[in-house]
Amino acid sequence: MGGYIGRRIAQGLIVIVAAITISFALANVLGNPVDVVAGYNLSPQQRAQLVHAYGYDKPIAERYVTYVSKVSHGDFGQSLRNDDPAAQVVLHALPYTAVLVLGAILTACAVAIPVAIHSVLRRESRLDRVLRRGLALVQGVPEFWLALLLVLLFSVTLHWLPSIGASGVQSLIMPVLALSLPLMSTIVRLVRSQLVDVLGMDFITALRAKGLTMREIVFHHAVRNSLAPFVTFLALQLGWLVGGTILVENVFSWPGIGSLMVSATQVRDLTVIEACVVLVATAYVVLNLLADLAIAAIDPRVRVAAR
Amino acid sequence: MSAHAVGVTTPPASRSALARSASRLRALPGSLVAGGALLAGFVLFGLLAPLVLGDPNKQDLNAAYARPGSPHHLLGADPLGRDVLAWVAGGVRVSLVVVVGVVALSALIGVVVGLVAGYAGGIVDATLMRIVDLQLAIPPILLFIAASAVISTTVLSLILLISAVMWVPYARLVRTQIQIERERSSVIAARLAGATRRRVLFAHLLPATSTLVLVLASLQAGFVVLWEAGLSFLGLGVQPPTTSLGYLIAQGREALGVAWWIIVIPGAVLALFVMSANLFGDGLRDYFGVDAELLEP
Amino acid sequence: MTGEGVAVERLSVVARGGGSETQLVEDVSLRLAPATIMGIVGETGAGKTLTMRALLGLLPRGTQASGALSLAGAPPLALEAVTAVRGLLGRQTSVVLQNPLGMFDPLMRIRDQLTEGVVRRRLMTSAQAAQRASQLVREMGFSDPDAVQRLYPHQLSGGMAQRLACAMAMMPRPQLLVLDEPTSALDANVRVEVLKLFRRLAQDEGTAVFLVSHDLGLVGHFCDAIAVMYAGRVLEHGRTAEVLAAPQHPYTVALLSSSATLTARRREPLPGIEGAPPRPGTWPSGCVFEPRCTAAFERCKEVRPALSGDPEHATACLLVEREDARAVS
Repeated sequence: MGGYIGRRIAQGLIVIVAAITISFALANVLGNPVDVVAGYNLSPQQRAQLVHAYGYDKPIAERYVTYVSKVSHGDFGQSLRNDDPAAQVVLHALPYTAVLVLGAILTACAVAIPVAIHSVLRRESRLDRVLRRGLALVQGVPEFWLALLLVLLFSVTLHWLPSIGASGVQSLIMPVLALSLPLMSTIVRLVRSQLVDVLGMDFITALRAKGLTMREIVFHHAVRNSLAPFVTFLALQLGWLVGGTILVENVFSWPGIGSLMVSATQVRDLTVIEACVVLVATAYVVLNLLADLAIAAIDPRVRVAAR
Repeated sequence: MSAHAVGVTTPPASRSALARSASRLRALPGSLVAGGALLAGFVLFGLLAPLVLGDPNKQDLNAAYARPGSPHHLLGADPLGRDVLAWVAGGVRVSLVVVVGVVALSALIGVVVGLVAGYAGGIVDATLMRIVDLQLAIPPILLFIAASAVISTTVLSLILLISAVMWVPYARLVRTQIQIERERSSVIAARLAGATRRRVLFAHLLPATSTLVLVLASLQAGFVVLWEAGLSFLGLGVQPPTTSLGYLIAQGREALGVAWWIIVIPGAVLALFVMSANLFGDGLRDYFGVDAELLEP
Repeated sequence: MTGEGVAVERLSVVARGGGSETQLVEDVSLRLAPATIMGIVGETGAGKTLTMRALLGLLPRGTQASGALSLAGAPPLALEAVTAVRGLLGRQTSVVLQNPLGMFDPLMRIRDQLTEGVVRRRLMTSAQAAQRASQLVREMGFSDPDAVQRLYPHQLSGGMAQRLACAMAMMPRPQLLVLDEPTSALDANVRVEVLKLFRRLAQDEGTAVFLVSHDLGLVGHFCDAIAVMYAGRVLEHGRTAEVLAAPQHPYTVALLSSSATLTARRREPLPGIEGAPPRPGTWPSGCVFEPRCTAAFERCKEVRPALSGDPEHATACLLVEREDARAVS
C-alpha cells in the first residue's frame, strides 16, 4: 500500500513539474517577458536595465533551473503589476475559489445523489425517462450564460440577491448555483447509470436471495459499490470545474483565482499567471491523489492490485 | 430489422425513392435524426445567413440597444448598435469553423499518435502515453488562458491551441483499439498469409476505428464550442472584427438591466448549438452501438 | 407424503408480452422429502432455471407463475403471489447461484455477508448469527473459520467461494434450497469436494434440495432423486438409482447415452440427439419430444402423455402407458 502511495505521489510530482515547465515555457516562448509585459514603450536603456534586474539576460536553461528551484521554495517572484509576491497574491485569492468550488460540489451532490437513487428505485416510470432526457439536454448550457441568466432573474428583476463581489453568504448563492446546476445533471446521470450497472451484477441476485428488500440493497450495497467510480468521475470533473469556476468568478466579480488569472492575463502579469497555473495544477494533483486514496480505502481489490 | 419496423405493405417496386428514404430514416435513432437536423440547420444558417445579412461590425449608435423587432434589427442591437442577428450568424459561422478545424486537426494528430503508440509498442508507446497522461492531468482551460496572454488569438491560433489539448482522447482510443485488434485472430491470420504489416493495418484496423473516431469527434464538438465561447466571453478569445457568440454575451453584460436580449439570444443560440451537437453525438453512438466506456478520456 | 418436505403442485410459467402469452413451463409437479437432494436435469432451455425461479419468487419481468408450493406441510402457497413467495427467500427458501464469486459483494468481508441476511431479517441476533456462521463454515470444510471469514471475496478461489456460498445459503435453516448449476464454473476435482461437503450439511440440517444441472454424472452421484425436464415439462422422475439404471422415457435414454460422464464406452463417438428442442411457443400439440423421438408412433402426435407411475419412478410417455396397460391386462 505504501508503495502505491509513493508511486502516485511521484507521478503527481512529475505532473507538477510539467506544469511548472509549461507555464515557464509559455511565459518565455515569445522571447523576453519584459518585452511581452511592457511592450516596446521602453527606451533601450530602460529595457536593458529591467532585463538585467530580472535576470532575463541569462541563458534560458539557467533561468529554467533557477525558476524551478525558486518555485520549489514557494517563490514565484513579484507580481509585475504591483510588486507583491506573486505567491502571496495567489494564495490570497485561493480561499474564495475553494469556498465556491466546495460549495458547488456539495450542493450538486446533495441534490443529485438522492435524485439519482430515487430514480433508480422507481426505474422505468414515464417521469423518470422524461427527466433523464431533459437532464441530458441541460448539459449543453454554458455556465457563464446560466450565471448571467441567474443575475438577470435574481438581481436585476427581483432584486433578491447581490450580483457582484463576495460579501457574505447571500453573494455566494448565485455563483454556487451557476456552477452546480450543470454539475448536478452530470452527477445524476452518472450515479444513476452506475447504480443500474451495479444492480445488474450477480451478487445483487444473491442479496435478494438472502431476503433483502430493494431499499436495503440499494442503500447498503449498491451505493457503496458505485462509490469508487463516482469518486473517479468527480476527480475527472475537477478539470471541467476549473474552467467553469473561472467563468463564473468573472461574471460575479468573485475575487478568486479565476478572476485573478483573467485579470493577470489581460495585463500580462506573467509571474502571477505562472503562479496560478502551477497552484491550480498542484491542487488538481493533490485532489486526484486524495481521490485515489479514497478509492483504495473503499475498494479492497484496488489495494491488492496496487501492491 | 428495418423491414419489420416499417410495416409497409406495398410491393417494393411501387415505393417511391422518397418513401424508401423515409423508411430508412425512421429506422435511425431519434436523437441522431433530431440532432442531425438541428446541426444541419446551424450549418446552413452559419454559412448562408452572413451572406444575406449586413456587416455585423457595422456600428450605428442611433440604433444602440434596439429591441428585437425593431426595423432593420430583427433580434435587436447591442450597445454599439451592431445588429444582433448578423452577429449571431457570424458567431455561429466562426464557431463552426473552429469546431471543424479543431476536430479535424485533433483527430488527425490523435489518430496518428495513437497508431504510432499502438503499433510501435515498447518505449515509444510508454513515452507517448506518459505525455497523454500529462495532458489529462492539467486542466486545459488553464493553459488556454495562460496562452492567450502571450499569443494573439486569431481563429487559426485558437484552433491550434485547442487542438493541442484535444488530440488526447483520440490517441487513447486508437491505441486501445489497436491493442484489441491485435489480439484478433484475423490480423494474425493475415500476417501468416504473408500480408505486410501495413496492409494488415489498413485493412483490419481502420474500418473499426474510424467509426469510433467519428463518434468521439461528434461528442467532443460541444466542448470545443463551449471553450471558444467561454474564452471569447472573457475577452481572451477571438477579437472583433471576428464575430463570436461569447463576445456578444459579454457585451450584453454591461446592459443587463436594459437590454436582456443581448445576453439571452446569443446564449440561447449557443446552448442550442451545443445541445444539438451532443444530441447528434449521442445518436451516432447509439446508431453504431458503441460502448460508452471506450470513449471516456 | 404429507407434513414434511417440499411439494410443488402444477407449476407453470408463462411469458406475457405484446398481448400474447407463451407457455414456458407446463404442469411441473414434484415432491421432495427433507434431507434429500433431487437433481433437475435437461438440455439448456428446458425450463429448469425458470421452474426454480418461480419457486423462489425471482422470475424475470414479463413472466408469471401459477401453481402452488407447500413447505413442511404448511398450506400451499399460490405461486402467483410473487411477493409472498419472495417473502420466503432468505428464510425458508434459499439459493446458490452458478457463479460462486458472483454471490458476494466485492467490498464486504465474508463474515459480514454470511450474517447479514439472517440478522437483517431478524431471524437471529448478531451473536447467534456469528456462531452459526462459524459452525457452517467449518462444516463446509474450512479448518480455520475465523481466518476465512476475515477475507474479501476476491481473495477466494472458485471452490472456496462456492463452499462459502453454500454456507451462506444454509444460514437461515431453509426448508428448500435450490442449487443452480453450482459447480459448472469449477474444476472437476473441486466439484466433487464441494458437493460432498454440501450433501452432508443438507442431510444434517434436514433441508430439501433441488440441484439443477446438465451434468448427469454429478447428478447420478449426489442426488437421491432425479427429474428430467424437456421443453418445459417433466418427462420422467423418480429415485436416481432406478431412473438411471432403467430409464423409461426415450429422451432419458438418449440423454444417458450421450452423457460423457456416464457412458462406459470411451472409444466410441458420443451419440448426440438428432434435432433441437422446440422453442417456447412452438411446442408440438402432442408429445413434446415426438419430433425427435426414435420410438414415436402415430398417437404420439395427438396426445400429450401425462406422468404415470409411482413416486419412485414416473414417466410421461405413451409407450410406458401401453406397457402398464398390457401388464395390467
